[in-house]
Amino acid sequence: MTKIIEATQLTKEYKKTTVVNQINLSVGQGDIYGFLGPNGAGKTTTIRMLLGLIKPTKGDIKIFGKELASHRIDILKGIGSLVEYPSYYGNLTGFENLEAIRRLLRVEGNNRIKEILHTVGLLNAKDKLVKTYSLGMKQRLGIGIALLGSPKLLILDEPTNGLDPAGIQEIRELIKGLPSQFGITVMISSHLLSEVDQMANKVGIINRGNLIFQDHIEELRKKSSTKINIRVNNPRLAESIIKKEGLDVALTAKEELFINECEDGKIAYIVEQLMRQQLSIYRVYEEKRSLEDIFLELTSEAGGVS
Amino acid sequence: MNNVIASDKIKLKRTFIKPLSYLYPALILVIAFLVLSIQKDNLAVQYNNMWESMVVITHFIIIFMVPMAITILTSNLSNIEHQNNSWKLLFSLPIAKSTFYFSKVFNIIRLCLISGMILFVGFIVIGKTLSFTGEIPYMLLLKEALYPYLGALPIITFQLWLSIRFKNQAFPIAIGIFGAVCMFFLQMNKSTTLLFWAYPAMMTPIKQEIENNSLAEIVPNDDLGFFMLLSIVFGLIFMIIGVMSIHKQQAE
Repeated sequence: MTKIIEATQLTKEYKKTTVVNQINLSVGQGDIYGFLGPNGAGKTTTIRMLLGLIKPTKGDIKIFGKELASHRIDILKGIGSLVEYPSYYGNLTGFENLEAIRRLLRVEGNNRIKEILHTVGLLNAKDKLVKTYSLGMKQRLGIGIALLGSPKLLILDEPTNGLDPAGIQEIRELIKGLPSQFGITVMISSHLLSEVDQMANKVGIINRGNLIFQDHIEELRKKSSTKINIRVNNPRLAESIIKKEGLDVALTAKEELFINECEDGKIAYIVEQLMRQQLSIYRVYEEKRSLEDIFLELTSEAGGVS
Repeated sequence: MNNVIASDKIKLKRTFIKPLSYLYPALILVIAFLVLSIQKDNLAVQYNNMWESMVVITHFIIIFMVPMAITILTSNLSNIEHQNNSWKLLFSLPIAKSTFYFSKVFNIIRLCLISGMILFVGFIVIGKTLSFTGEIPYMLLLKEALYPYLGALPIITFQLWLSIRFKNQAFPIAIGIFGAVCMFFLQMNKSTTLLFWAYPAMMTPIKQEIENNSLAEIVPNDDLGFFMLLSIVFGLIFMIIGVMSIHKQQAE
């Protein structure tokens, strides 16, 4: 699979504060890459470096197989982007905003603007001044501007900021369809896992400037499989018993046994073994961990939000 | 380049920029008209050519108003992009950063030409209304309408550099207005006329000689070529600085 974005050892320092620390990003053709992290983790800084808006302190960025530093304009021809709060001209209408950018990009035809307005659902508001738009509408306009040049790579920084649930749903459906319909690769950042969960096939998690996870979303899902907790009167004895059976077991902070296994037969077998040793079993319960829990766990492990 | 200019043209919609470049020449003309209609009899006794007197008197109003107007225009023009941090959008487009600077320079020069033409037409209207004698000196009036703008070239590129470089427009505006006020003093002394703020004042087709502390004959301005050269040189220097500055600018 061809790599669309390849960043190696990407680092950004501001006056000795390291905002982004030696991260390696890799986004393949046709991916929807969810770039996750809590607020202030370095998502926007990374995205700004990918777009050449700020210069990295160290590290290389290759997009479409070309060095960003030496082929900036060439690379940007294939990118549509929305960085943080949408940029817009408040004194112009939605239509005129798109027209201003259309002229800049030399995109032919007025139909393209109508298409875009339709895609982002602003057709009815096209003649209203953008300064009277709601935040959600401005956000949609920003996405429209990003799509205007028919990019091969779409980089969206928190595109669902300020959108209502219905709006989030719409944008999600829109983005989901892009790779299959137009062969667009999408990189989308968010501080909410649930938001990218339903559309991304690959995720990168950044925390305090460090990339702490990068893989297919299935890998992350595997971590969220169910676990069985068992509470007994003598956890240490129980632990050794289960270990003897050759099963993975761990003690939690609450002195509970924690088994990475949930097959019915096996659980029954374990319980039987414990009872034979005269242990009192208080609870056997299933703990389902959501992706959100995994995300929080990953980001707090690395010393993030406490 | 054309695409950026075409795009910048749309952005002027519903802003104060275009009305301003029509309004301030009109204001100059109104003041000139009032001064001339009051002083008409007085001036007619002293000099024969009222057209030339008009140019000399109006010049003092022009040289004060033009740098002020340019300061406000450049600031407003840059503020279109600063206001909603559009730089980050523009800089992420496949367009050389310097193009945005050149487009703004082009835009201001175009607006200045429009203002200049308004002044030119206004001069003729004033002369006709106050029934000045003699043939209309078209070339002289055209020169008076456009030369101060040519002299303002360094101010244009200097102010544009500042207003793009600094997000807070209070700073470039303060400098611009300070410069416009200083010009009155700079143009009085021979050595300080070399400072670029004084060039619009020096760019007059004719000037009035002063002999024994009283106004004397109106003669052609011999220094015109020298100051024209200076203003083009300094205009280009500040343009190069402005281009280098926008090239290095990062969209934080």
